[in-house]
Amino acid sequence: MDVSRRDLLKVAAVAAGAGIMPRALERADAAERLLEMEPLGNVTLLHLTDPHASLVPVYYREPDTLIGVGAERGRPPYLTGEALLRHHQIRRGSLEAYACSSVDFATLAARFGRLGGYAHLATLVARIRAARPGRTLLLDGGDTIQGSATALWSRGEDMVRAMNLLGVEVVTPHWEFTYGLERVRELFGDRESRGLFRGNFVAHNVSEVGFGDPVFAPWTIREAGRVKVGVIGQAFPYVPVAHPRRFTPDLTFGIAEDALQGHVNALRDRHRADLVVLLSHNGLPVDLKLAARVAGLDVILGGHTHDPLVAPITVGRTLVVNSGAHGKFLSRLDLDVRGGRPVAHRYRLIPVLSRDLPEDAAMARLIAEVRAPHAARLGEALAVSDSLLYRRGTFNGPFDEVILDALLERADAEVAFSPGFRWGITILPGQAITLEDVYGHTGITYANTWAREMTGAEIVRVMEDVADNLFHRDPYYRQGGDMVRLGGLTYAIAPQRPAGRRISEVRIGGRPLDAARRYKATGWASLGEADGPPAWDVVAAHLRRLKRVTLDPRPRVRVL
Amino acid sequence: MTDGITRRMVLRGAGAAGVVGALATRAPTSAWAQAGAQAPALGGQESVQSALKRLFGARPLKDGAGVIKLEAPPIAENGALVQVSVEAASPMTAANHVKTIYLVADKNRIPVVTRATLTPEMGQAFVGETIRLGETTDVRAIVEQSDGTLLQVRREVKVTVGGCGG
Repeated sequence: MDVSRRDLLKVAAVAAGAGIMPRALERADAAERLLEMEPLGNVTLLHLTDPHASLVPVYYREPDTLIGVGAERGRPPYLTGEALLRHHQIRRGSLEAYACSSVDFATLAARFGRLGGYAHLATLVARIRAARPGRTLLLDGGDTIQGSATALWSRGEDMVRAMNLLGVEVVTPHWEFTYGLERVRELFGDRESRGLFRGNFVAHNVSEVGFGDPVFAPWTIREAGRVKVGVIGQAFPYVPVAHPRRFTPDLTFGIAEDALQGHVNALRDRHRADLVVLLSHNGLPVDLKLAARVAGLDVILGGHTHDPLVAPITVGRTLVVNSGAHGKFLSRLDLDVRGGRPVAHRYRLIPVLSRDLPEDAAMARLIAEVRAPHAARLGEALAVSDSLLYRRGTFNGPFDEVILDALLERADAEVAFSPGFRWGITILPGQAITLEDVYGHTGITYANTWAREMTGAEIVRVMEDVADNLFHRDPYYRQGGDMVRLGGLTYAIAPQRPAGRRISEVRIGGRPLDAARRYKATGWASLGEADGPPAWDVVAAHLRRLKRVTLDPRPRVRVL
Repeated sequence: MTDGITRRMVLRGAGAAGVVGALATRAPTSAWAQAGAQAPALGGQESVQSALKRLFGARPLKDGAGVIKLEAPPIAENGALVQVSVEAASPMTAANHVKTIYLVADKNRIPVVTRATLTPEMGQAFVGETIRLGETTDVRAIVEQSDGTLLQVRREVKVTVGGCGG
């Protein structure tokens, strides 16, 4: 940037002396404060995760409700809204409050603009690399190549090109597998061959069914600041149950603690690593448990649950970091590594402030090239929203309601199901919803819709099953994600109760659910085969008809 | 399969046997006869409580944590093929060894999945196998030592309809 932080402070001081502190100036100063960090030690780990193919800047509202069970309640990451601001002493209305919470989201979004975008991210990364030459390592926690129309249409290639240009050095996968194992091999290589990606793809917990042969390199050793950094990859452990089996028919995953401990020991004892890092797609609650059970991990850089941790959580001697989603944040962890272990650290969760970080020219060119052929199609304004639309949160968000309405209408159904994905961009009041935005909520490789009859008992069984994947007391039994979104139905849920006994007071069309009755149900993103039109077509058609979206709050779920 | 028997044929056969078994109310197989009392007929059904009572009577099942290592996935990738292993710490001498290892899936229609007889000559007390679970259930490993002590550990294995959030 042309204006240095020092210049800004000088101007701010003069302005303050004159009794004025214009909001624009205050804002610019706040931005510089967030982007800068006093360096420490010999290594800088840079971590982003779960960008979900957000090549261009986005609005992405953090959740207002995140329910933890047992001892988790009321502690990060299960803190939202004003409680989160109070816990971290973040001032309401500030840039930090905008980036990390749901409080005043629409107002602050208008003031501070979109976050993320690879061209802005590239500038931020370049700035830190210039300030810390030879000492940085850039790691990506995965869920990188899914979530946009262009990623879907290029089967992930646009994102891998952007990763290469950004200089991502290590990555570990989750949604990557929804393009199928062969495509993962083409893009990222495996143990034997290289793919399009120029860094290292590591995943110690992915092996072939049968003899259990590992498919990918379990770890890599990188040097930064003359420190040998061992990075082990932990892929999302539940790919085969979270997505259609056809994408990974011959693979087995799992948390694989024993194998992980073996790799940590090998890196420490045989390969003399000074610092051992787990690049993880476990989800934060799983990582917090794992950190207490696997010895010798200095740092866990985690993702999957999309939690923007304002400060790392220390478990024993392990620092656990989580860096949010959708490209909103870049984590910077400076470490002073001496005698084979970190003796000091400094951390910042840096919001990628697109208004304050100019675009990197080369990345901007690549993004323009990727998008140009599809510009007209992606930019089609389908409807204008009067309401704030988002998905993220434990229960239905307003964008889910739009999807559910579209599904119910098309199938003339009584009940609709939509997955509780944690990705999906936010639409501000007054904003047009484009076809690109619809893909930003539905762009997956198994987006077909379905319609069939389900008994009341079956409907409740599905709800209980998903609830247990969310609220099981032991995080190793959770798959991450949020509660399945339901249309046409209201219910009560008691998250603290045991499996099979959480859901009650289910009403369909306003009438108490009849366990034996058959209801007409619909949904999308089925793990089996589904032959209805893809969700983006159904939602886009619905929005074209509506032209304006006005969603009053729908009290659907009562939490007991 | 080389002998021309398909899984479908076996299942069909099992279904037929189930009908026959239900008619002939007391038809123990030899393996089950060894376990003591009556085993359920093929195709039948048994609760875990009655299975444990049948096998062990009133003998206490002590906590085997620290002795038994039961490995099972928290969430099964496929309920029809769940890999489970049991390892018990034991010197495996004539005087002190593990005699029997049982695998029990509480909610399976027939909960006792495995009964493995071990001898000191085997050198280790280990059983690994692939079991089938119809629904989320506790899986127990029960170890009978040569002095007659019974130890057990259990782990929940979740069989889920699946789907992803992240």
